[in-house]
Amino acid sequence: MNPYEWRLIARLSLHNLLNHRVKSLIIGVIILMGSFLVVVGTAMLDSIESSMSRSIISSLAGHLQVYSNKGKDELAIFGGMMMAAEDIGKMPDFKQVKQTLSADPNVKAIIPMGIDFATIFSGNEIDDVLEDMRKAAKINDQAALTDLRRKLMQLVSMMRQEFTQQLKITSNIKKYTDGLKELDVVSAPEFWKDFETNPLPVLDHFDSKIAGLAADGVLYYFRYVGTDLAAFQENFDRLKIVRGEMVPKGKRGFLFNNKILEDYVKNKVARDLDWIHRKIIEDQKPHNDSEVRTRIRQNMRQFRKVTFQLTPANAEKLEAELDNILKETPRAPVTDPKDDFSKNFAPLDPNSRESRLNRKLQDFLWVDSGNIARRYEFFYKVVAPMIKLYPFNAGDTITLRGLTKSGYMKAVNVKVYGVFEFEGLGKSDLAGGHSLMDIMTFRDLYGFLTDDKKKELAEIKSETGIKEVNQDNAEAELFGSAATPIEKAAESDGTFDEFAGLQLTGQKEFQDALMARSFDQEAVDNGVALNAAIILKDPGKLRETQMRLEETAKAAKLDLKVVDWQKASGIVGQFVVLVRVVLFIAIFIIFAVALVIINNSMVMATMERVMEIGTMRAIGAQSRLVLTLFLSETLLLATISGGLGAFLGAGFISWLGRQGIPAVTDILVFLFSGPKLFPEWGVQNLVIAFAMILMISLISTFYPALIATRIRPAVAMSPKE
Amino acid sequence: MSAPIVQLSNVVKEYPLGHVTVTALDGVSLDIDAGDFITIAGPSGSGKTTILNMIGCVDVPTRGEVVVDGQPTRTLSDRALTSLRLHKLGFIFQSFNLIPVLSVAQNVEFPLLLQGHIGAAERKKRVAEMVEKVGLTPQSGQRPSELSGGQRQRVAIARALVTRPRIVMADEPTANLDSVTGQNIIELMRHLNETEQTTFIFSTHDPKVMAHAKRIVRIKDGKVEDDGRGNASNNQAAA
Repeated sequence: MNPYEWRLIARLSLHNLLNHRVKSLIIGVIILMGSFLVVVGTAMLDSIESSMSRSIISSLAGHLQVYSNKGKDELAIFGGMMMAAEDIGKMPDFKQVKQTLSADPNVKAIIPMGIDFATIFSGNEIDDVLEDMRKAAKINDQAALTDLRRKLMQLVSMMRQEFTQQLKITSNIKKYTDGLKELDVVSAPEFWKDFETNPLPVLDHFDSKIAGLAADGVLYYFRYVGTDLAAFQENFDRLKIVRGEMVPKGKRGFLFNNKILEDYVKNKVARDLDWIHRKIIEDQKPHNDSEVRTRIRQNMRQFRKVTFQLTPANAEKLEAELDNILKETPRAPVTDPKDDFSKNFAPLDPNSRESRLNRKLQDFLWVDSGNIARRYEFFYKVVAPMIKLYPFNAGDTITLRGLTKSGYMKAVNVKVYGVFEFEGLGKSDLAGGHSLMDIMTFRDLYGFLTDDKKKELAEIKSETGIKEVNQDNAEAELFGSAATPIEKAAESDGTFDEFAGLQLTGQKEFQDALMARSFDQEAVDNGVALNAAIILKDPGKLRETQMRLEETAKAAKLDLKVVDWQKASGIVGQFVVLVRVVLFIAIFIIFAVALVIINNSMVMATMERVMEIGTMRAIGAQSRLVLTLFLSETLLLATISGGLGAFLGAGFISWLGRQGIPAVTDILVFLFSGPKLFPEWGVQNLVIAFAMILMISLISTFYPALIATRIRPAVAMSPKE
Repeated sequence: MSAPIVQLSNVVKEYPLGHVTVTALDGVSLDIDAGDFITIAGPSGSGKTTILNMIGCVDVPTRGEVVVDGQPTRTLSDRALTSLRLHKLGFIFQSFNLIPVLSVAQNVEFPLLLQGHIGAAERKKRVAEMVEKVGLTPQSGQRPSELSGGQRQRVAIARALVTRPRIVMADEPTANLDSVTGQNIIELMRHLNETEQTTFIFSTHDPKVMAHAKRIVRIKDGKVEDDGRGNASNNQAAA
């Protein structure tokens, strides 16, 4: 076509757009909406992907992850589909991996990791008090012993009350009659007569006869990452210690994830009050919302989680304080019978101080929208200091139990140094899913021991006089017979100390000595890791570095897999891919509808313009001019309205970027890499939107344009003869 | 004597209409000389427009031959026919058929732009001349919808003549006009025929319009009843 024809086409296109306003408006609005949607959708997804990558990279994954090629499962740092650890194999010699891969110019750091599940058992209240009493007895702290004895007797008194109540309703009369007899024994003054001089037999009696009568303790099951904590802190700078301190370099230690403590471990009354407070204050739910109502009722029923922990002095003090707060923060009158929780009150005995306290505490926990803020504040100011909010605190030594690689249960003592969270991700379940510990403890718990480590352990064993009983000689040691050794249940490849779990004597001393030991970087590196996080100097070169590292590992015969953060994170990393697929399906459907509408409008417009097209053809316009004219009319419209839609979409994203989109659920906190997402748009979003719009416009116009080219010039001639 | 500018030899045009074939032209033979001002007359359905379609190269015969300015049209491609129309022919339609979104001047300029080789200054000059010749200079910026029927047809005439075609086809050019305006239009065409030496071929069944023609070809039932030289279809070839 000649330049004049192009000029003609431009002139006609522009005039036709302006003159066929209804058609232009319908098609323009559709294109505008489509373009707006694509820009907003893709920009949102890009922003989420970018923020999610920040969450994943800066919390646990690093830019790349490396692990053995021999595992059965793929690495899933945030967990796969199962509630068990994946079998990702192991890297027996982390040092070699580190040395080999660190040579790459783009590798900043390689941090060894071992991710698995462990359990911690928290004893019941009696267990806790008895443990404290033993500690006090060991150092002969009489004042503490007296105070703790009162607390113990308070618990006994509460148990007597509860057993008396239970006797009235239970069919298992013997259990509670016998229990009451035992409680009578320990309540008698003569039981305690030698306590001050020799407390241990009393405590042993409580251990064997009374602790078992109390409610069971709780077993916590959680995921942990064993790592080089110093390197981890250095490279994952979102790690923030919220209580306690960081594990000192070269020491064994454990860091609880704050989210786990807050959501699963914290005192149940405090936890439920947190939840109710959050729902009413932050989420603006009314107190008679069915979910909130259920939780309030439930919290009223679990008042003993507080009262069981109170010393008599605190119980007395709390009763007086509760009188004040109840007067100060009255409940609004109950109008709906569903909000009347008075039937949840335990029976009141006005002469019993425990009973009065129970009632007042229940009354206190019966909160409503009007008093929650004040009562919540009171709980943490007055009640919380009187109870143990968390069963595990900085400074405690906990016993972790885990399964070794070959399936043995192994227990390791480790000191809790502190509580951490990943900054900005404090509320996220995913980032809050892992606790941290040093890699040496991980190797012990998981059953990996190097020769050096074995030698070191042997030294400690001889120092502490621990006697090791392993599976080969277990029967002889335990039962004194020289029975045939039991067939080995698992193959040992020399890096395993399969039977270290069967130590019997000197266990505590051994563990204490182990905890006191320091280890150097050599010991950290020189051992097994399951996987390792690779931090890059230039994350922009992730792909090429990944390929290069794969080659390097292959050349060094390391048999490793190098995966990016998205793949390493498991199903979480695939989330954006999934959402992207859903978005594109939605866009496809919208565009398919748009395509039909545009197509129909254009066909109708073509029919209206038959005479005009015929005339053009008659006076000498080639059919390709007609085709180009139709396509360019739509292209012009698509450019204007698609451009406007893209502009509005970018403007909307910019506005959202200033306001921030609040992460209303825990998963969103992780996806948004913080409490709010501040989306951004990029040129690529506009280009994608524009390309899609142009494509849709051209496809939808092509058929009508083709019809137009087939209009014969003869139609321009008079229809009448 | 010079060769006729249009020659129709035994032209047959048949249209399929359902299962039936309708014969619109049945062996028409006709010569038209350059510079003629000729009308094709006949009752409705007689085949006037079909003859104009054949001469105007907007349609091709089923059988027979149409030669326009020495160019046989039956075997020409659509592209070549279009080019022929653009360079040799001008069209004036019964319903004016102006491009509604363009102004008077832009409508007149339209075929010049299609021709592609005429520069802006030349186009402007030619358009201005043509618009002036049809007496619409004051209205040159207006849209067709702002003009009267007569004015629209003048625009159509200007558009038909601006490329300086050899032949101008006009299909019932006065049918949608009142008699006075129709008269003016035919007089304008006649004037241009004389001043520009352009061959005008138009169809009409209005006797007053016919009176202006130098030659009247009468068509009936798809045949030439009288070619204006005393010949009919069946003896035209022999003549």
